[in-house]
Amino acid sequence: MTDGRTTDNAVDRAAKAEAYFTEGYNCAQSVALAFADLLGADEETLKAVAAPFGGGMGRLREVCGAVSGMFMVAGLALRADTLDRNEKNALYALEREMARLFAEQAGSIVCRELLLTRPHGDTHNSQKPKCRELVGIAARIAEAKIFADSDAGAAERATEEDGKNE
Amino acid sequence: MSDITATTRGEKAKQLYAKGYNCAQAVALAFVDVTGVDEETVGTASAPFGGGMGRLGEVCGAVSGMLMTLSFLRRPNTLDPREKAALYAEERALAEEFRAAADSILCRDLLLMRAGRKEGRGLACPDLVALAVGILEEHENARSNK
Repeated sequence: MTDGRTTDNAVDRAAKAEAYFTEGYNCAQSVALAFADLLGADEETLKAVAAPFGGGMGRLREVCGAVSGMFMVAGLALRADTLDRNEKNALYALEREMARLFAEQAGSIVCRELLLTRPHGDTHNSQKPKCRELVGIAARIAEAKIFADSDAGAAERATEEDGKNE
Repeated sequence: MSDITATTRGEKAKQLYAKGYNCAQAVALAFVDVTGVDEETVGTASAPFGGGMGRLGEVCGAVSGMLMTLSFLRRPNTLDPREKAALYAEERALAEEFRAAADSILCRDLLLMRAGRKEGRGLACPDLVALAVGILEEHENARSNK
């Protein structure tokens, strides 16, 4: 088990997610796109499915989009059969664990609370350093909890590495 | 928006929910015929939003499913600030309609209302699913009639 901060992969994913954010993608999109190679969904679909979760859902300032993005990565990567109660419960438990880690590192999972210390208006992402940091935190947690801790993650990575002929 | 009427699409969503799909999945899957996204992707992407996100009690999954579907229908280029702002504005309008009809958009509040422990209409989950579907359907119909 990891604390979601330490692996090299997690650092790479965080850097990738932060780069997407700097490019202008919203918080949820940035986290999801950083894992595009592992999700079996094309980038255009990922951009569309994650788009509405930015700004705590369309600037409703509810759950941080980086958190929603991290959850979405779990859903797309693990492909749980949610009609099976055990699989659904396992997905939900993983989400709550990731949310707990995020709150521990960021102070909250709610956009309006996270922005209390660094409020920003409708501005370019370069003016949102706090959000970029949150995107990185979410990506590190997702890498650690979805891909490093789980058997499914190990299998995903093995497949990916096979594909690269490494 | 298609030959499926709001009522039958709401029924479709309720049936999906009764079958065991969660609130977010039931709403999003009820629109796959018009979003053009495959069921596997829609089902797995929306799965984490059930129970106010993995039973965290945050935003109702029916709302998340509705907003996800809106984005699939619009496919905005969110790198364009105007397109992004337009998507967000539509989301807030839909969320406000949901709030007006259900008294909250938060799962934990909706469940407390249902249990009679908080003031509000206390709609059951299947009805919240149908409500979200109906709001999006009406929104789309109003838009196409403009």
